[in-house]
Amino acid sequence: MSQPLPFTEDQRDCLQEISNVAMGAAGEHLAGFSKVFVELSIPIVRATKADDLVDALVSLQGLEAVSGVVQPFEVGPFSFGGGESSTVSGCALVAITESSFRDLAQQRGVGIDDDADAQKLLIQLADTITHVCLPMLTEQLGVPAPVLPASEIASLHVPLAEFKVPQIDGWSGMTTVEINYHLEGHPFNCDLLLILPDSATAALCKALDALLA
Amino acid sequence: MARKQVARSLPSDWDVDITFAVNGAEGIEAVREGKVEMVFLDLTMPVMDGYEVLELIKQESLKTIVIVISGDIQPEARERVMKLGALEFIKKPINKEKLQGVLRDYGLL
Repeated sequence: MSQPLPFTEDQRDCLQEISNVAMGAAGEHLAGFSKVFVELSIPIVRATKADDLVDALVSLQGLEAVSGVVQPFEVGPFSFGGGESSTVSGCALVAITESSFRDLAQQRGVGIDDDADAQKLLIQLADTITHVCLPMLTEQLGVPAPVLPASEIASLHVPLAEFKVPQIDGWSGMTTVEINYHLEGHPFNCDLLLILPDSATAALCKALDALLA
Repeated sequence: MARKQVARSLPSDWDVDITFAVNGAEGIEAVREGKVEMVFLDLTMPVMDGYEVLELIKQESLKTIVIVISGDIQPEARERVMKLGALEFIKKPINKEKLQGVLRDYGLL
């Protein structure tokens, strides 16, 4: 269930717009990876609780099993007046349904019956998206490129209700930006969810205000 | 924010009136009313996206110049909008010099 956003309308609009630009850059790479034209959605900014993560994956709702990869990131330092600076840590989640998984495998000419092959394709998909989207976000925010440890499989072929992202264990509230990619003429749908803990909100708001100034 | 960024990137001494539309449906209505000589058009918009706007402008032979400004930078996105009659495609994030250069190149300033 969504919570009230911890942003002003201008800050929300700004976050949505820089996410839109970043997802577009990633969309170009996804088009190359899949060899299909990518249809982009409008990013949706939400405040939610970690327990309600599954609800934030709106486009994956249904009866199919889902799989996902999580890319942790650290962004910053954000420098504010008076010598104050901070970094922001979060994670990016790329999640798809079974039919999308099969569709992508067909486009790439690979099999996914073996778990190792499935994981490899999933990681490739996630890295194609996040390794372009996240640096484009930091470029627009005027901070150094993000620190990106190796991405990890979050869940593989599980019912949506059982989908887990261990990296957000212990988080209470969080901000998510949901971005959906669809391959034109294909069943493939992919959710990119940028996830920031509540502890990152203050620094993010200041960074957005600096962009809006 | 996108609309403000475009407005801030235009020449400050350009003698034009600027209005904003929150989505493609609002934009196409303004064009249909004959009030719009030039459109700076995003592609990813609610209610009606930029491709649909371009298609309607073409279908209805509406008289306006369209410059697409979008974060959808797939090569095919540019091809599609140019085929639909856009004058030019400018990638986001907007570069002020690039935008003004396009306007000068096409004699629009």
